[in-house]
Amino acid sequence: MKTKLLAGLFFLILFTACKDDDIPEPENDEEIIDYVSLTFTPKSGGVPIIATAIDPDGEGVKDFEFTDIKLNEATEYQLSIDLRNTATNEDIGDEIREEADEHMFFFGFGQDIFTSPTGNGNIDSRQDDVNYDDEDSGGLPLGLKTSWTTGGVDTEKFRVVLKHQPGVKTATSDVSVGSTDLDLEWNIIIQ
Amino acid sequence: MNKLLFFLLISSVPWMALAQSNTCDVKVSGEVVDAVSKEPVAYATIQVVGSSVGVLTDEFGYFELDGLCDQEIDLKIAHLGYKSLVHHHDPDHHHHIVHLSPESLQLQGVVIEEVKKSAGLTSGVSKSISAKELDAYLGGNLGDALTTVSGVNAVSNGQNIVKPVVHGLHTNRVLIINNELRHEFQNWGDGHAAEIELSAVDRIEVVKGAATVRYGSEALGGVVKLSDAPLNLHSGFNGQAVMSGRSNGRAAHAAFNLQYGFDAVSLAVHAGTTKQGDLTAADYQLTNTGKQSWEAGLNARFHKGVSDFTLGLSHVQQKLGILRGSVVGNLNDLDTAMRTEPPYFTKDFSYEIGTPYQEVAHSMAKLKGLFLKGEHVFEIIYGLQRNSRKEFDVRRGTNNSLPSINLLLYAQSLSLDWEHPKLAAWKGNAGLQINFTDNNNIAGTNTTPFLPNYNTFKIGGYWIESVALTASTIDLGLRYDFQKSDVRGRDSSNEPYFNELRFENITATVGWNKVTDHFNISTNLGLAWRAPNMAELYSFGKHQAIIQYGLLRYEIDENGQISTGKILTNEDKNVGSELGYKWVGSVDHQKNKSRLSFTLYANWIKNYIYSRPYGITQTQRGALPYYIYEQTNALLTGFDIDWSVKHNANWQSKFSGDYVYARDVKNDSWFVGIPPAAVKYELLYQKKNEGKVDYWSVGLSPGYIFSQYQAPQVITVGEIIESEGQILNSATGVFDFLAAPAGYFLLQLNAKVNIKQFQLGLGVYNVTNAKYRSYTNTMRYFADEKGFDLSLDLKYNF
Repeated sequence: MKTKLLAGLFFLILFTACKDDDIPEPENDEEIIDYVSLTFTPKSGGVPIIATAIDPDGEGVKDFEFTDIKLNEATEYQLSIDLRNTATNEDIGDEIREEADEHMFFFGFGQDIFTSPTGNGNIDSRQDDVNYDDEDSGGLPLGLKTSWTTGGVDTEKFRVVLKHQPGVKTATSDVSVGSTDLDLEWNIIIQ
Repeated sequence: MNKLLFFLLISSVPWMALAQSNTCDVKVSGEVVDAVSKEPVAYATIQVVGSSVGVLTDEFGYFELDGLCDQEIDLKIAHLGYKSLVHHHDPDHHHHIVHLSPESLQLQGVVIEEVKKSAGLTSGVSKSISAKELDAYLGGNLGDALTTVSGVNAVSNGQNIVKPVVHGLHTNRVLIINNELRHEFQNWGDGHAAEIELSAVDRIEVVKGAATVRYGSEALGGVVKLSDAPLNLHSGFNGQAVMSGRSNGRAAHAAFNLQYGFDAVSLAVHAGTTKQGDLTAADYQLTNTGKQSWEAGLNARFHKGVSDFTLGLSHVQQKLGILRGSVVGNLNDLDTAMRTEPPYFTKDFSYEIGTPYQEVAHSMAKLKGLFLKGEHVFEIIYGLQRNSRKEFDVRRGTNNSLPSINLLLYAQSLSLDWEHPKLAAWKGNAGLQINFTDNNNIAGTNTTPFLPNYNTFKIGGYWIESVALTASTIDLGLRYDFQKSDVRGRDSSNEPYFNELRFENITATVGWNKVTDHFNISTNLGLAWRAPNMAELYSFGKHQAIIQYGLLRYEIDENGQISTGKILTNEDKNVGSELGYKWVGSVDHQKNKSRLSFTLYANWIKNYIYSRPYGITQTQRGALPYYIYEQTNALLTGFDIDWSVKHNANWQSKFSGDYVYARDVKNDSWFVGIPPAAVKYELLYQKKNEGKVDYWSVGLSPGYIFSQYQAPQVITVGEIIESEGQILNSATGVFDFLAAPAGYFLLQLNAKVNIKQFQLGLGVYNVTNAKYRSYTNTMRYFADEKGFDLSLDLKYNF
């Protein structure tokens, strides 16, 4: 008798909790950056030039889509970088600014396409010239704002890398330090 | 009498079946060990009470009595210096482990009865790890302890996350049964090991045959059975307490295991805790490889008349650090990390565990009833398990303190087994197993979970028979399984999706076993199956420097063009279950001072699920290679060998080795991560009763692990970056980012001293502080394995 009761109880426990149809709660995916725009504003005034990179399908198999950077020759620009998560309509740039001491942008471009900075950027060598217009609380460069002066007519590549360097960002920490939050490459046309 | 018979029956696996009849061919075997040191006791006398029949144990403590006419006899086990024991033997137990207690101690000896092959089928090859062998892993992890069984290796994701590999298969292809319940956890991917602390485990048995018929799906490679200490009646108070420390990781471990056996009730409690800091490789610190864990459990048994009830409760909590330098965001990071040594973020020693780490908790409750009615035996087991897993990654801002994976799983199971009375030469049992799991994402991870919420219902029925022939036994078994999963998830744009998955399979097994004076020969052919796991079906997105798409997350058109926009159902893509056909043959030979065991196997798996690179995609972190899960056919074959020789009373040698050959037969290529061949030798010197020292031993154990020569092609990250991914378009099949590491030589040393109830152990792992990397550890891309490690442990037997 006792046995039957016990067995009955087992089945009761087993099958009462069975059916549910809860779907996972929607999450704000804050890691994702699916919209990046580079805004080159001529320092002498004029219409800002905007180039974008857009991820059409999140973590799906489709490639990022780029529009070219088209700058005028021999012109001084300030570049500001805008990073967004369009799904949650978040400004990732704000988060970067808040954690400026853990983040840094690095730039790479065709040899001497700018008269300032000269060279090919600081991705291959940290000490190479890039004109950072912002810095973290420790006086180290950040890179959401930078200055550029174009040289003559040319078509080349322009690469932007954002590194997350928590606790390891220093005056010498290069692009190999930390993990990569962003690494995109645009075509740049100087005309 | 009846009571005693029942006591013996219930401590056995009821479906065990061995030949027996009423003529004079009854055979009894067993081993005699020292209750304190667990060392075998040679030359102990085993005598049938009231007769002149008797034998001595051999050098390994083994004995065998045959040609007995009576099914039920009393055996007297005695040895100078030990308290002698009288044990009542009944026909259902052919193998005994006799624990003799030294005369100098209060301790009482006990006899643990078991069937020599408690796998349910006599022909399914199985091997056990004794308590003595487990002593060497105090405070260590389960996966490492299991590697003492030949044919069992480990795959790991750093030193704290280690999973057993049986004959080349692991994760969902090896079933873990803990305290009689199927361990239910997030058993997918590389990085999740079973949440089990060794201090809770009394005995380990590895079944190397495909044992699906008895245990259900997933047992393609084999079954790892972990048992808590047996609950003995009338045994009074006994138990042990352990304290141990290790130099590497400056780890400390403490545990106890206490038991009281009354006349009708037996109670046992166990608990253990471990704290380990950063480990050290030969040349540098492995930053963030600490571990903190604790476990506690209670087992109780109540015995009355023809009924016997067992209650089991346990809880495990672990916080496991993962090497900080293994975190990469893209291919450039991976390239740098692989070329940087010591790894980035390497700091001085610390007990602190930062991101990335895992926080896991597993609780279980078991209720078991055993009932006798005439010669029928009924067993019913209900289990309830709760498994919580949180994984913390290196993330930006406040997200760094949020888990990026947070899953909670509840599992219930009910199993019923009926053993029928013996009918002529036929013995057997039949049963029903019902499982229900409910797996849910806990909100608040700020990342879209790729793993859906799901409920899975499984039901399976089996029937197993053993037929005794004149000099051998034939096993036959048949099983039917059905399982259904209701899936509810969200796609990458947060839109909900639903799916229902159904699988059903019929499996069977047939085997043959013959035991002669010196040989024990078995052969077994078994079918096994498993359904694809949720990660294999629904993976979507980046993990470290690669992207993975599950079987239901991508489509490939006639032109080979891939798209990942749609979530497929089983109507769109028919994903079949994995089906394994495993043959195992084994020969054990035992004569005089030598014991040799050789196992040969071949396992053909249809619809084998694996992931392979398919292309490269431009992401926010640059170009990343992406992998798709696919199904193929696999062949795994190999052998294991164990050989031990007692040279004399003091010197003993042991040799073991194993080899696996694994091939993707459809694509004609190798798989990544198959354990390489390994050989190990151990030379042991032991001495008994020297002055106040009851026992002492010193062992030296060199081992060599070969490089994996049967590894797929290598395409380095540098080559991928340089070719802007083009190299992946022209390459076909599986590749690895790095060549398999070189073979390595490891030297281990251990020493043991027993004085009365105390046992002091000393161990040195990696004596030469060798710098090496293991092919089956995913951390091999980033850092060396653990260097020199000195351990010291003190054990007290109550």
